[in-house]
Amino acid sequence: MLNRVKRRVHGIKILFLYLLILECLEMKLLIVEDELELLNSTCVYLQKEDFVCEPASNFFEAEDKLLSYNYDVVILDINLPDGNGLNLLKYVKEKSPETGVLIVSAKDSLDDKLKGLDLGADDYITKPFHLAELNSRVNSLLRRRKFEGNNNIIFEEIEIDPVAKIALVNAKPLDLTKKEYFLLLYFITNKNRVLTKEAIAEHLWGDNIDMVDNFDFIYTHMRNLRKKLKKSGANDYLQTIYGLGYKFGE
Amino acid sequence: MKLIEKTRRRYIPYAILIFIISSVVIYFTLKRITIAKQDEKLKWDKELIAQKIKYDYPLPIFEVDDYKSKTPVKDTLYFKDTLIYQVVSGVEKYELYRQLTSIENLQNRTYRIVTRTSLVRNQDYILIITLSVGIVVLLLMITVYFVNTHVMRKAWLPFYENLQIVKNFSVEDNKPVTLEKSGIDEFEELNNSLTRLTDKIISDFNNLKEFTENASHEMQTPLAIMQSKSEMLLQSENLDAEHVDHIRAIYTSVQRLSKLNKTLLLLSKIENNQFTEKETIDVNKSIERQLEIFEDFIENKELELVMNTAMDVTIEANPLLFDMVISNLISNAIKHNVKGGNITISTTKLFVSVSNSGAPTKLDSSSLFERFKKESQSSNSFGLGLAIVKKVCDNYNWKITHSFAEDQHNISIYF
Repeated sequence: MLNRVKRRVHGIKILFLYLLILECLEMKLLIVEDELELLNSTCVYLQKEDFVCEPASNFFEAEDKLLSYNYDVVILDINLPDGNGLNLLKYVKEKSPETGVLIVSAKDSLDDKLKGLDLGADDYITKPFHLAELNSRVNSLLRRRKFEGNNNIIFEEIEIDPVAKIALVNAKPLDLTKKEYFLLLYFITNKNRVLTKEAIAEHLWGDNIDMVDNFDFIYTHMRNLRKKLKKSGANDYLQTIYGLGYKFGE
Repeated sequence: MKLIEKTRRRYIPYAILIFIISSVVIYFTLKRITIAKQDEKLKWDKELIAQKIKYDYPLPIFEVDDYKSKTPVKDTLYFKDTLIYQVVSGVEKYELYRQLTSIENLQNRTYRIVTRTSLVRNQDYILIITLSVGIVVLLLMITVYFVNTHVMRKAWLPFYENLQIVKNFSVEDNKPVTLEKSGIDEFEELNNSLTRLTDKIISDFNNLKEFTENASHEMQTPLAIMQSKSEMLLQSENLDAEHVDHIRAIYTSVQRLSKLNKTLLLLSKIENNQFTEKETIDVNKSIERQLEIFEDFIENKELELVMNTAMDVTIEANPLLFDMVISNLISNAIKHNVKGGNITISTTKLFVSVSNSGAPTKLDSSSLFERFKKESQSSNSFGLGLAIVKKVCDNYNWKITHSFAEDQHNISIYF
């Protein structure tokens, strides 16, 4: 009888331990956004990346959730109807400095950006943004924070070392240009997603560059990357979606 | 021309005219008066002589002129100016005399009595008097002129001070103007109107700013939703080609719209002077940074890049805006270039210039910098790039020029 109880307790212990490990492995995200539709799309997109996403649609809700749980990354819209997001940022940074904070703002103002970064925000993105870009930023933030940047990203036979900024195929280094490297990283971070030319261009060249009418240069980089991957013996994971962009994955 | 200057210039010809007229009037009046007095005196002398003849007094006569007339003549008086020949200490000269010739019948004889007096001294007196009066008038006029100027200047001083205040008025400061009190009704009225006007401008400007900010915020969020939703749609499985086509059209339009929104916001921000922070910028470094970004585009068009940069070119400006200017100039030079063309970037301490090969533009140099001006309506760009450059230049008082010669476009910014 006692043994049975002991065994059961042991079993429960193991279960808890398992849950704890699971808890540790899963990345927890808090998304604070007052626009419900946007909150919904962001959550759905990021959930597909195996993140645990908690939505919060106002200051109060966000504060409540921050009080009870710890998050790996907080995506924070600083223009909230019932309070300034910058105050939430201050609170997060006081409570758990290891939490990464990504500020989202509709105002493309330098002031907000500087204030946010001064208060300890890790990154800043302006509305409207590409979901793939947001995902890419969250991933890079997580890499920097959680593992002190020491984890390699692996996709099938392709491996990326974000610290050394090199890519390997079957453990053999790939000779890529800077742009090609970032392109590959962007693709792997957003694998199995349709990535539009606009999103790719913005990711590689920034959003201030006014060259929308000419996407030829993307083809050039794409062709080169494809060639290099093929040459090193990797499978062709790049799919062209006519008129739209590309998709990376099986 | 300043008002004071204008009244002054009006005053001078009048003053000269009055001066001349008054001098002439004084001269002739004096002359007339002295001659009248002279004549009176001559008459009196003649009377004395006549009395003496009448009562047989001995006459102090210098020359005896026998004037005999057969028939008795009537008494006459005749005045005239005459020149008399004189030898004074060996110098021969004619002197002006006033002469009274009278013919009178006295004691049954007809006498011609001639009395004369020198006019020379009188003439001198008149001249001296006229001159001194003239000088007094002139001095008076000069004094009036300066006093007037001084008084005017003092009266207009508050006006000019207020003018300066109004000139320095900038809506961006968000400070209402406080004008000096002058105590002059007209100026006070003007001040009141100006104060009212500037207050209205400030409030309108604030409303506009608020509106732009609100509108942009309100627009960014739906745009963000549209963008994210169309991106989500793109991710869904089992889309047929037609759907993909529709979604792509929506997606591209949203992209364009949000880019336009961003650019217009930026333009109004530059206009509203919201980029106040300044830094010393290394111009060459900024160009290098931008060229790195545009590397692919330059290579893609097989453009030849020539750099003529001077050492240590620095400028005081907002780094973000300056990068934007350089970025827009380079992107412009790439966009309107021909395949295999060239780009020349020159910097000196005085200017930055970007030249590129290309076809002549249909737009003239001045409208090139206006908003939404583009070569062809079908082009995908908004025609706002150079408008931004111009706005930034205006903000810092830089001069921007465009020229086209020998298939080369050149845009230069003079600091």
